Amino acid sequence: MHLLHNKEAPKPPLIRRLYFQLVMFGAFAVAIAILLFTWKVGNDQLNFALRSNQTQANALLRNTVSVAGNYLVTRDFGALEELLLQAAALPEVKSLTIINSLGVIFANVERKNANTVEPVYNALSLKFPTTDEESVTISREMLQIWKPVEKGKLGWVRLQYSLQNAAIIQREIWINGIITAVFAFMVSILTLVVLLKKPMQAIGHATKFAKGLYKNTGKVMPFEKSAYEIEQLEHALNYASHQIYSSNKDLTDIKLALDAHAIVGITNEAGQLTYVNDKFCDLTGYKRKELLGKRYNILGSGEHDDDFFKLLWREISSGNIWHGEIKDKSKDGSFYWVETTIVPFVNKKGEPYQYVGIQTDITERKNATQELKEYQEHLEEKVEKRTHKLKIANSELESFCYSVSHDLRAPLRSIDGFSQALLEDYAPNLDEQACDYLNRVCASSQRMGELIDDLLKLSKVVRANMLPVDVNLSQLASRVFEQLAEREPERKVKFSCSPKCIASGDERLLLTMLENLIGNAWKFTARTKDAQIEFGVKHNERQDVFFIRDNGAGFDEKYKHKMFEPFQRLHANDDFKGTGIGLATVQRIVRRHGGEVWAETASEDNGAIIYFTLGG
Amino acid sequence: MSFAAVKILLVEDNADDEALTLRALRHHKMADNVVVAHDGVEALDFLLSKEAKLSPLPHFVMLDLNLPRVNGHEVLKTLRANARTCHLPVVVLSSSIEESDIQSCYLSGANSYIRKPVDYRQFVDSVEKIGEYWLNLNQRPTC
Repeated sequence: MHLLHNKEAPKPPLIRRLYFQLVMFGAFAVAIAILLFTWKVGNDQLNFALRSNQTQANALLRNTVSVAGNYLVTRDFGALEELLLQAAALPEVKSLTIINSLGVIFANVERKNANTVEPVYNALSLKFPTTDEESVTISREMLQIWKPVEKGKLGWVRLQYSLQNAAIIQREIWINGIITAVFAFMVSILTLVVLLKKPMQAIGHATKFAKGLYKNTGKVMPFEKSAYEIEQLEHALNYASHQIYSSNKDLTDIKLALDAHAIVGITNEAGQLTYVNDKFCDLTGYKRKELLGKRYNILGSGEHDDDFFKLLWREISSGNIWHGEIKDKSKDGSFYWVETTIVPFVNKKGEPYQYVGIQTDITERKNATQELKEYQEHLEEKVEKRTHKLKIANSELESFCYSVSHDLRAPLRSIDGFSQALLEDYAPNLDEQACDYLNRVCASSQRMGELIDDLLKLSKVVRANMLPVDVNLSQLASRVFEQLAEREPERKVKFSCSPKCIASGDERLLLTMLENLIGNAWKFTARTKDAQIEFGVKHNERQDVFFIRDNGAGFDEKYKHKMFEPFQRLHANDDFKGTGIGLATVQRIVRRHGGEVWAETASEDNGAIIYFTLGG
Repeated sequence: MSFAAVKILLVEDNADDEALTLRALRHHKMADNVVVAHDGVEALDFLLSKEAKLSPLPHFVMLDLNLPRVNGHEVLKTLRANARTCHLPVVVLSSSIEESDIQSCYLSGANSYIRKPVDYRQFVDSVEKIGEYWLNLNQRPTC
């Protein structure tokens, strides 16, 4: 479009004028040079002619004077006239006159035409120079010399000598010079017009091209064979065109990319919108013409206070880039959030003249964050509800345990108590079998009492509050073993313990766990010769695995999976007493610590190894 | 209710427990001068009513916790709040081994906390020791 327009446009006037000026200057210069030369040659020729005429005239006069003296004395007028006629044979001589000392004309000849000289006597006397010296008068056409004869005492000879031939030479030189100058002028014009046409056109093109560069960057100018310098100019222009094109292209591409991704708005230094891209219009719901010239706060949502915008302006008006999140209101009244970067463009003085705002729509993210926040709050509420329910369940469990301990034990006490009373108070009336039955009643009630107590202990383990600290298991294990050994000093058991087994956990629970484990080991080694109990730790890459090993009765691998269930016993009560709650308690404690417990049969002596981990 | 020199006040609502406790006391010849209150109100009446103030305090109180009307804890607190009974030795007899029960009893001013075992022979031993201690060994304020 622009290209077409430029082609139709008339040649730029600058080039025409320059073209005209160059041609005229060239032509005039040639003409003036020729005229100057003509003037010089003309003058030289004139001077030369004058000088040779003068010499000739003097020589003629000297001869005439030397002869005329005698005739003046003798007053021989005829001889004088003859003398003059002879002397005036030279065509340049216009007239020759001889006067006596008083000015009376003795002889006078004048030229009538080129070949004829005649004596003429129109006057009697002539005025003559008052000095006795020779006098010379030169006019444009004539040289006049007065020469005294015998210092004027005898008379004077006057020669009028024509200078016309010199003037004619000069005129001819001038005429020829002017004709040459005019001719040269014309030829110069023609030559220059032809010679300069192409370069001038090239410059014209280059100028036009350069003028159009800002619109048609990347264009390449066609080369024209003109002058080397012009070609250089064209090269330079093409290079500039390419450079401008590539940097402009980069800019355009960047702008395209920016427009494709971001919401872009530009304001002037007063905050009025001067540019908005399509995305800006789409998001705000305004048409472009509705936005341009308006201040940005047309989009104000009321979310941010005055200080927010004051700070923003302070930042960008001092030339700093501002970055932040803004909530705006679109034309239809809906709100949106934009992550915004405002870049001030500053002039050479460092003062911003426009602000470029690049925005990204983050409404969804904001909403999602809000939802997440609400969900989290909701979650907390849920957790609170659950916790509340759990608390209720716990307190129910506690009251259940309480009633178990009270209400179930009370009848047991009665059963046992009255059975004992019967046995003691009525023994004489009871036969052996009756006594045996009553004893069985007592034993059963006592056992049930133990079961209830163990059940309570188990529930305590589950309910107890955890207070995790670093616990030295080695120390605890040694203490537990010492207590057992004190209780049954008659037993000889060898106890070995790895030093410094440290684990994080609740000290009271871990103590209960070790009491059960070492208690079991103690119990099941009761019938073993050279009984041994070992507490130790194995490190694998993930965690510490602790173990309690004994060389006691061991267990049947078949029932391994039942070992940790409550009230499960793998030995008859006659062999080893117990309620079967110990390992169940251990398992609960280990699980509360996030660990695991399992049992293995020791390969060498068929004793038991209980392994446990304590999680983190 | 007899106003003879009462030595032990047994507060027990369970008839079986009452019978067995009395039998255990009898076993150790300590059943004379034992008064039984069957709930907290009776116990407080016996110790703090106008008539009761005329007679001397028992040597000690055997107090069950789980009582109808006024429970053992409340009885304890009331006794400790009263100038007449603030020094009266109280032995709590309970089937509970809840840590919280034990602690709150001592906080309320119990002098001793004994668990009632299921095994009656153990209980008889316990009663003997309690009686021996609080009747014979322990020194109490005269008024």
